[in-house]
Amino acid sequence: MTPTALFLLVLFPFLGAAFACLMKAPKVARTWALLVSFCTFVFSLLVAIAAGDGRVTWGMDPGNTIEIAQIGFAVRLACDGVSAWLLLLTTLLMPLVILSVSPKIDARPDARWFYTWLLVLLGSIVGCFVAGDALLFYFFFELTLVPCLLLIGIWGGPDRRRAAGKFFIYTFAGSIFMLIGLLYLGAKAGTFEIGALVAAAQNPTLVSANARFWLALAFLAGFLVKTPVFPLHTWQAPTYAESPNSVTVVLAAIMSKLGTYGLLRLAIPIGFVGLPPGDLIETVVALCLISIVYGGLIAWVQKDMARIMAFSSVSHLGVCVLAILAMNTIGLQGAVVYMLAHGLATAALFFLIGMIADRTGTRDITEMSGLFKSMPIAGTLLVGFTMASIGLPLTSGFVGEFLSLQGVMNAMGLGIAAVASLGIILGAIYMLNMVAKIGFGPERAPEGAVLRDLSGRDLFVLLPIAAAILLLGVMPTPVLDSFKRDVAMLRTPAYSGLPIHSTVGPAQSEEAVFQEPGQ
Amino acid sequence: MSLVHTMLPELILLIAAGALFIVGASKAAAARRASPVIALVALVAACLAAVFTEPTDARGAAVVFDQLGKYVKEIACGVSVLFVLLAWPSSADGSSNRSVSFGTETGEYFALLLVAVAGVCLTGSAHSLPTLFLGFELASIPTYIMVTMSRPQVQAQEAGIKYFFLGAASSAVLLLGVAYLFGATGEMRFDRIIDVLKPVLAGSEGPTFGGVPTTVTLALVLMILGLSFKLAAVPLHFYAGDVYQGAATPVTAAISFIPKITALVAILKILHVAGAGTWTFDPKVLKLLWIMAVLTMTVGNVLALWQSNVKRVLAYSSVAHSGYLLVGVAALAMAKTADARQEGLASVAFYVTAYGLMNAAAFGVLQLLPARTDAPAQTAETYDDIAGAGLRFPGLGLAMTIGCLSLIGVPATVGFFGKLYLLRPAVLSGEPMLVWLAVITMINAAISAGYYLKIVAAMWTLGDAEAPVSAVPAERSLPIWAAVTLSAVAIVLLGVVLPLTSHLLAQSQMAGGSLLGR
Repeated sequence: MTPTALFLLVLFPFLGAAFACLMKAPKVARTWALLVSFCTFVFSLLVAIAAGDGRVTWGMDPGNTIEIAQIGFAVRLACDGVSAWLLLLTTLLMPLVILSVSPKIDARPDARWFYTWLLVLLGSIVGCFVAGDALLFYFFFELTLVPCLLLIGIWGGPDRRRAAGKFFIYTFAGSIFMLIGLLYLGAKAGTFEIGALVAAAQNPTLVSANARFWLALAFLAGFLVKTPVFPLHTWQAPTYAESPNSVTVVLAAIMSKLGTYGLLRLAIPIGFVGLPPGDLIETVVALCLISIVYGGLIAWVQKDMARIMAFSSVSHLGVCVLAILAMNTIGLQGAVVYMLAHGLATAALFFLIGMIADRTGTRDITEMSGLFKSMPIAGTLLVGFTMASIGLPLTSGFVGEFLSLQGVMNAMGLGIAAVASLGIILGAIYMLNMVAKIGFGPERAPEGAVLRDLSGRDLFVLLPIAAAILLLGVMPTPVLDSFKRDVAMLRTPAYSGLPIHSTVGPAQSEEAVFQEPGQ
Repeated sequence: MSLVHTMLPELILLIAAGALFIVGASKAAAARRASPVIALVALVAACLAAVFTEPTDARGAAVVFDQLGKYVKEIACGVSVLFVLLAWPSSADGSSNRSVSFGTETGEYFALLLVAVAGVCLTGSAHSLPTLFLGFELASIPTYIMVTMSRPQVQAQEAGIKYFFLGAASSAVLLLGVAYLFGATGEMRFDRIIDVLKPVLAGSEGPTFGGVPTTVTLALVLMILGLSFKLAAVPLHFYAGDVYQGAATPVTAAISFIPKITALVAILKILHVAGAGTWTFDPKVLKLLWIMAVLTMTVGNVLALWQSNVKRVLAYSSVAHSGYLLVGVAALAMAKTADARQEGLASVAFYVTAYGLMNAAAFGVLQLLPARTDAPAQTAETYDDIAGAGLRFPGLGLAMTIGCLSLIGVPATVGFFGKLYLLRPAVLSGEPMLVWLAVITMINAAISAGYYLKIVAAMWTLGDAEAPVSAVPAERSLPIWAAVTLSAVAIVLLGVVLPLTSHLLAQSQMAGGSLLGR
């Protein structure tokens, strides 16, 4: 039953999209898309609950799946604890995204295509998170570009053409190296099943140290562009600024996690696990540190709220990538929670930015102030979500940041952790700066602004996210436990006979930290 | 198998072509309107004849019907149906649609198209040097006339003349190579040439250093160069831009596929023969192929970035795609095992089919869109012409998007699997030169995204064009719409319905196997 649900989960959004494009009335298409995405959420809940007890798979047996045998392309799906949580993040946010689609888009004759592409996007992101086959992962990873390209290119802001093209070409150019690496590794392993691929990559008799270095580089190229990490981030700010707001939510909250997920699932096990730390990983660590500080500083001086959020993502996800590179259980756990926390907080903030921009007609923080007088509910929520983004205790952001930095400190030492924590301080500065500028002071807004407070629908979009943030922040233990085994597997060499190296710096006993009483 | 049986598809096509020449002599509008129907029926019949004929491994004649021949015939006839649909006259007197204007020569045009397709079929079946050359010329000569007669304009005349003279020169080079091979071996038939060459090439499989007679290498190089003109491979690509732009759009679509598949099949066959059936080559030939592949795709893609005319963009993209196909050829020639060779052959066979579909979709959409200005054509040719077209005609926008994304090689389209399959033998070989070739191919795919996305972007945004969107509706010709729909649907189906893709791949593998004695 559950394996079938896993397969349907991937298929369902695409089927939904096929019907959505036939619905002429925007209202109908929107309701349909909402229904489909909600059903996908229910499916993903079923799968995620089952994945709590152990990995759920579909089509793993050879010959018992849909495949192109000549290429070795097979539909193999697998969902473990890590996948399950990211899956839930995606499917929880997508109905809210559809709910929040601006009425301006509904007013256009081609509105149904907007919902069609959103559903295709949903399907391909879900496909990425549950792919048990690396080539299938690549398939979906690249497929996400198509709906995004069209969503930005057709419904985006004035400079949408350049933004959409830049977004597509950057990501595409990054991932082509990954494809070559994948084909090479697949030839060595004889399959593209992720487990076997990882084992083959770590087997020194199959893949030489030199080849493994190039493989690591190829995979990093794909995922560091997607995340993005300095200096590969230049596509991000224009893309976030030009996309329709609902698409920006998907890009920022969900799609950036494809990069970190790919690092976690493929790049790290294939490129680094079982090897002593080398120049490559230290270079990436350095890039992450630059991202954290540089992203934070640039965010500080931006005026467009979407751009502030874009650079804050560069800064925040730098911490996340750093925690992944730490390659200890606590760091990886932290990275996964960080992904969830960042996804939730970013989505909520972008929703709010969209709502404010709808009312004031601009996202420029210098053109408005004192909005909270007429919009107290929006103000309260904005402050709340900002706190979650900064990482205030009792929010999910705190758990993610704490564990990530703990992991980084254990693996790489105090110095690097100290630089990484600068990101938190900078985060507090630029986020509070933004909130203060638009929220407090004399009430001022561009002409034609209608400063209504949030509507029922707006609250309906935001409150589930608020609940998830608090839930994750107050009781993180069940969540952390649910994928502890899976992250431990990611850092354990799949090919027996390899030593377990922690990466940079001295390895410490990290298993003892942050454990529940009674474990 | 009797000769008639072996050559049934060619015979059907040639008889129908003869009938069309006669029908073309009539001045009646009804005759002109009937012409495309006859052509369509003939192509479908020829395709079915190929499908339902069992291939054999008998190689005792100048013409054989093996798996490769069967595959080439099916694909050539199947894809050419799209070209008939694209050139379908929609005017009441059956002389023109918005893109082409045949005057009274509608019948002749379709007759020539059928002759060209028959040439492709013959090349696929050729088993001796004269039949190969005959097939090649049969596929080439009609295309020169088709370019010229497609529209009554100076550009088309100029394109036709240019195409003819360069084509004739390249045929001469090909013929010189054929003569050298004949001179070196004293045989015409492929199996006998192989018998003669085999002992000479020391019987060792795969590339060897030295030992290959210079005349054989010279013959091979001359033939490859002669054929690479039809592929529009660098350095013989110069004509592509002018000829593709000058010809009417449906003709451009046809001449970017028919000569390409002919030349490709011919290259595969002569590599097989001149390599003595064991694929033994002078390493210089391998280097030549490698360099040609790299230059062709890179030059094609870079030139395409600069163009302002979409037809020219597609022309240079066609050059780039020849480069991708040459990657498969290079991987095939450098392969060390029979399995790798079969993959190389199959990947080329599969990719050329995929290319035929995507190309037809892109050109078909151009044909349906009105031009902003009258001259030289009534249908879209430049970026300005297509600006914002997707907003007015979402279906056409979607079809163009599908075509362009498939040409880039994005998932959920046939282009993705085509490129994946093309790169696989190169990467699998583990040969550093070939792995680099794969990397260069993918970098080129990223460069090509630059101009394909420009086309997609132009379709969906109004752009810089100041002129108001022309109020002229899209062409309302059912056959052209059918061709666009068919190719767009096929692109997506072959990219999504995996069993279907797998089936076509199996066909192309069998086709490849027949050159390996499997």
